[in-house]
Amino acid sequence: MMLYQSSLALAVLLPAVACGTLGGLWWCGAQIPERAIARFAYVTYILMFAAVLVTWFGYAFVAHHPVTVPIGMWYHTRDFHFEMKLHADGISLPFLGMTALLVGVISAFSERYMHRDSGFVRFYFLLHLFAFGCMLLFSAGTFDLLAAGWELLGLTSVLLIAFFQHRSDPVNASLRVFATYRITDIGLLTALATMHHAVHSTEFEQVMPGGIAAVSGPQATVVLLLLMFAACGKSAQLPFSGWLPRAMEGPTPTSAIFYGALSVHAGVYLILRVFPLIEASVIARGVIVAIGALTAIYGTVVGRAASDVKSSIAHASMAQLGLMFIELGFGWTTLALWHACGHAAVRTLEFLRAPSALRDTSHIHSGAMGQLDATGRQYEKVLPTGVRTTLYRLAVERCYVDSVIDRFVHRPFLWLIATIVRIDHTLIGDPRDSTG
Amino acid sequence: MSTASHKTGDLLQHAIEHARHLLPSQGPIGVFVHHNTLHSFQHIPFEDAVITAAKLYGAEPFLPETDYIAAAKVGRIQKDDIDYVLATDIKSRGSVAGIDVSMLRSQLLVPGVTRFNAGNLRWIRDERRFAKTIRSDIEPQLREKVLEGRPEDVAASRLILTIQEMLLALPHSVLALPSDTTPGQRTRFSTTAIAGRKWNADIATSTHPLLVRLAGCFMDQGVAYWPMNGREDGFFKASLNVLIKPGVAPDGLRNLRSHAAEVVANDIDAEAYVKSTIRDLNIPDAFIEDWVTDSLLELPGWAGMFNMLEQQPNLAPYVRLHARLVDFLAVKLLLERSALLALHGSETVLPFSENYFATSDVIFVDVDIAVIQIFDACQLVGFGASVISNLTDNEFAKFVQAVLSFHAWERRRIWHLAYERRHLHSVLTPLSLIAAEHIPAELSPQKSMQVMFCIDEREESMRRALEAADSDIETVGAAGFFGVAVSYAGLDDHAAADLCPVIVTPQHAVREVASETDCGVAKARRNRRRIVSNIIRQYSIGSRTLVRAWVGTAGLGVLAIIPLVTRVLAPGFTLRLYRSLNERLLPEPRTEMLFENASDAAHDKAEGLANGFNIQERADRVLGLLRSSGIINRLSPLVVLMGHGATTVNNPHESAYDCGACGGRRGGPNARIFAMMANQPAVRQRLAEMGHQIPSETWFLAGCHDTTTDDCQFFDVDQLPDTHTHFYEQLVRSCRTAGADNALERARRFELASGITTPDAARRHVRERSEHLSEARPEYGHATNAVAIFGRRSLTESLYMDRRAFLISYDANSDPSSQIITGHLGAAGLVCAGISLEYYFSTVDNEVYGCGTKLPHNIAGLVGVMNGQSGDLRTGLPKQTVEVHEPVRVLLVIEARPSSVEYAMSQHAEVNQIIRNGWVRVATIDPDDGAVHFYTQGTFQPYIPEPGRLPTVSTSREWYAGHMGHLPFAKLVKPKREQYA
Repeated sequence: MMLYQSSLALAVLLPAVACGTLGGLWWCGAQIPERAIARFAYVTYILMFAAVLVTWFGYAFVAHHPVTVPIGMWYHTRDFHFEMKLHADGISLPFLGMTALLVGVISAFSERYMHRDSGFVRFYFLLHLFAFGCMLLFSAGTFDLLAAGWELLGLTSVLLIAFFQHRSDPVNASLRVFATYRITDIGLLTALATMHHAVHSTEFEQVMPGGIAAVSGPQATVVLLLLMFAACGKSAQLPFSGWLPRAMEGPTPTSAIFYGALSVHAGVYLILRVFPLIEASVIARGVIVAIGALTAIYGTVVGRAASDVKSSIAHASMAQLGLMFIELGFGWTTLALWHACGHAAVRTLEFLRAPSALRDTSHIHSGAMGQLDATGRQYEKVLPTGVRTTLYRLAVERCYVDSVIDRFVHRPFLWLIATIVRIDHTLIGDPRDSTG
Repeated sequence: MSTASHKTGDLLQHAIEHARHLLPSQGPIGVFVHHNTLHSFQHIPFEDAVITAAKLYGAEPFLPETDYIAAAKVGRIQKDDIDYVLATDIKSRGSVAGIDVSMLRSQLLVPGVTRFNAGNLRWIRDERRFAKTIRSDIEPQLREKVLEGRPEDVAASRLILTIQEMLLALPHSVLALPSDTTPGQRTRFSTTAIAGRKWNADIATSTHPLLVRLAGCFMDQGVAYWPMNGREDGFFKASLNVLIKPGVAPDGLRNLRSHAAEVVANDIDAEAYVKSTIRDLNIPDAFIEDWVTDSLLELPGWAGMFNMLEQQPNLAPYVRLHARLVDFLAVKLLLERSALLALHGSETVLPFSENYFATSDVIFVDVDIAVIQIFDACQLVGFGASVISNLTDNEFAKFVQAVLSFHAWERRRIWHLAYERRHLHSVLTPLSLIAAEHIPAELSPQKSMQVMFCIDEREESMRRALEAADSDIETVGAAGFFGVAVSYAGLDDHAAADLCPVIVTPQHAVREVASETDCGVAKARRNRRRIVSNIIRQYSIGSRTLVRAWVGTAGLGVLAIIPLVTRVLAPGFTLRLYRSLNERLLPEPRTEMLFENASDAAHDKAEGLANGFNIQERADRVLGLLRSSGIINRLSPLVVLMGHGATTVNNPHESAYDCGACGGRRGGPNARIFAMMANQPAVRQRLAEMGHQIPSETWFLAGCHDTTTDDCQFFDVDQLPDTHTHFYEQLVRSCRTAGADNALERARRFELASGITTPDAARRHVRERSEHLSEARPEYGHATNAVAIFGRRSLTESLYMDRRAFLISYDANSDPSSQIITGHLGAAGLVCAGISLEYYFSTVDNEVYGCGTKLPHNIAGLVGVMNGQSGDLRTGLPKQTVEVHEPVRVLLVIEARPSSVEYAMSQHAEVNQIIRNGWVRVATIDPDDGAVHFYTQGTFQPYIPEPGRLPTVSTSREWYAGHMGHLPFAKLVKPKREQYA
């Protein structure tokens, strides 16, 4: 058992060590050669993958129960305990394995892709930090630790979207993503607080002992809705879907790993994790199915009119995430898990190969000797032109979700801020007035 | 009213025609053509044109000053070069305040002006004691003169105060600089710009995202599942069609739907809409042109694409579009109108008042900045406070003007000319020395094989390697389409493509078909390819739809890990696997070309493309190439025509690496057609009748050199007569050796290849580069191009030219009338100029003229690349392609007398234009006595080589081993392949 516990701990700590080493050397001003960084990354992820496999072996064939690693007590008061422990079971191990594998593949890809870019070290630093966040998220044994991983995931996503710091578009996009993440994280943090209040701890065994909810009734529903709120943010469900296409501003490998593979499935993982709580609440299940259905339709409709390759893949990704939520709402957890892993693998390759779209299309056309059926014909047959065009406008303008949010959320908020600033300036004076 | 409307209409028409020229002329990215980015400025001298363009586009005219300073530190620019440039520059003549302007300028370049950030001026002056010290990097005697025996801080304060006093005593006009040459973009007059000045708000953030999405949907060649309907009515009508539907407009736009409905109801077309906007916004007549230009230049990539597809609709790869530039402008204005309504919250648009349309001929330099600059300059020339105060107002004013007018752009111009001067010496001096040695020209002995490569500068090293590998091979250079301009469809192609330089329109169509014996094989291939492509298509569509993707990802999705891992971690293995699957499942029939046209009559252009060439046309083409390359009278037993192409994966810019002479495609088919034509007995008979006998033992063979992997493949080898088999085997061996040597030479440039020391390892490395999905630099393409040499191989065969030279075989002795050189300059010369200038502009300003780094690129509509998910289409070359390039204008070196070149200039307008206006540099080498002349200020002046000997090495490898950067030319004494133990 010790072996499997240490392999789990190793798997989680390796990326942190890699990140810390790289960061420390960078901080001290060392000029680390690219090849060294890449080699170091290979070794890290190979070891990580091996460690996850060992843990999986331990879970599946030896122990037959989840592998847990108690790290210690962060702190405790009379009523509240903030334990830290790692937990690997049938839900987390697939995700841990996918993380090790996909981040390893991406780091191999990036060695050549990011060659000679001025942000090479920064990229690998953030990639390792991201991997650590993922491992923490997927192997957390308490919701507190899960939230820590969640936050790291969000932070690294945002920093990698804004990778090209000198242009305004990536920076604006990343701020929008950051805002979305922060707002939805309110759900996660409030849920944590509720859990602590109800059960005095957020350990999985305390909150859902033996797979049955320790909280019940309205408390469970509240916790669930809050957690779903958080999950919707990360997994780009409506109404928080606006950030996903904007996240394409980062370099291609980050689009692949974050928005194809891992970061977007964090919400799915969260729901999977709290499934015992969900089983109890019909309202929550209904809400998940509804949100998932709406997102699936949204992603599909908008993706129909997406004329650039990365947006097209992003919306397809979103649609599949909606379906995963539907599966979760109906209780088909194994299917959802399988779906998430399969989806991650497919999308990563699709994103990495996105620049090949020209050649792929040319092959398709030449193979078909120029006789290709136009796409979208069935809609032409079923819907009259007017309806089709309205639907098209809906698709081009991304179902107006962004427009509505900008108009009814951003504008009032900015107006509020501007009013406060104006009051401030009237009372105190405008610092921009030159005083000589 | 109607005459005013007519007038506006005419002005608008004129403005749009004018704007067309200023937009990028890059078509859909599947075919990348190198051309002068500032083609429409070619009628202006180069140095002025780059400044004008910089003002217009907000671009850089030259490299940053820091790059030149760094170059000077390592000796890439020498003091002599700067002195020469200043001595010959018109703007650097005269004297001010008792010193020569050229001396002042020289000092302002080296040791150079103090660089400071004007925004922090006050802080710099006060906190960093800028005004309290005299520079320490100036010569001691000058420093003494500035100090005037006083302590440093006293001298400095006195100097700066004197300057300040005298400056304030002068009229303000002393600080005026002409606005059309001062650094900085000119004032813009687009609606966005004026709205920005009026309301301090950027309406582009509201209008551009929607506009880009609509444009992308309109242009889409097959990415979106739902094509935009109504495209055949044009962009304006199609967009209106969409915008009148119920919906919520993006934030920042108001009344969009109702306005669009109004436009549709009144059946207003695009031109009328633009005119009405001009009227409503009250754009003054004099500014309509600028307003249109600036509006379109906010999204130059998209506007340029609309323009290109309007002028050449057949460029669209799969879906014909009815694209018009005025439609794009109209939709943009429609959205901007809504944005303006939202900005000032009213129902109608307010007209712009006249004062937003002010231009000024002069820009005034800020007094504080001027004082600092003059203070700095005084130190550099040794003027102390008393010297300054003794100057008359007039003299001081002239001094001030001389300092201020030598601003950043002007300094960089001088730097750049010095940079190019040094490069000129590095090319012409070696060539002069070689030319002097080779006079009188010896006729090299007849070799058994002649291999004709494309003029591409990448082939320079391959030719050197091949000649070193096999002394029985002579190499020749000719444009890679080999004179055979065709519209060609291969066996697997469904549409024909033009394989010729873009300036040529092919008149003949050639198809590749399966030979009669293999018809069944071909049919099987066709059917299987259809099935495979259908599967791929269904997969790619399916992965983006809801239900099919659900089944796919939930079901077998995890299997995708296998291709993911293998393609990223073991790409070579994966590609070999695909290739063997290809060979097994898709049989390759033997093929032949349908290039024969039985008719004898000359082809009438009006009838469209002719199917193939008739006998006379074939004979003409064979004769034309053999004569212009100078080998017609000394053909070897085996003559090989080597086209070229490149192999890359996951690269939207892949066409940029292919043969430019073939319009951005591979040159194999042209070589094959030529070889077939030249081998035909009937053609040889016709040539004999025309007076040119091709020896019966000569056989023509076609091949293709892959410039990424350095592999050579040959076509129709089964047709080779038995007598030539041993030549062919020798050729294959030599090509393999040469390919590996070439790979080693190329590998020196790649950072990731440091540590590769053997040809085989190099070959593996370059092959890997062509296989990796993540390789953003499969090869460096035309980077490092700098020279184009039109002459005999004997002039250049013993020179190591570091892959910098285009080589065109030309023998002046067989061209008494200068017709051939005229043809060469008009074809190859212009192609080389286009490539050189494309690289120049993408290097000096990669963000504006080039397309930036490849990393965030996203293919939009299959016509171009965008950064991220919204934004302009990026045109030009990516940073990864130009990062090793030295931006110099191509130097055309012609082994002929100056009179021949002058004749060519008189015959060809564009050649004349680019030479006279300095877009290319030209030198001539007399074929008889080796005298070198350089074209400068309108005439050919004798060139005096620099003293010194040419470094001599026995192999190329000796010279380049261990170096990653640019190398000077060297002489190869005994071209012989180094044996690796």
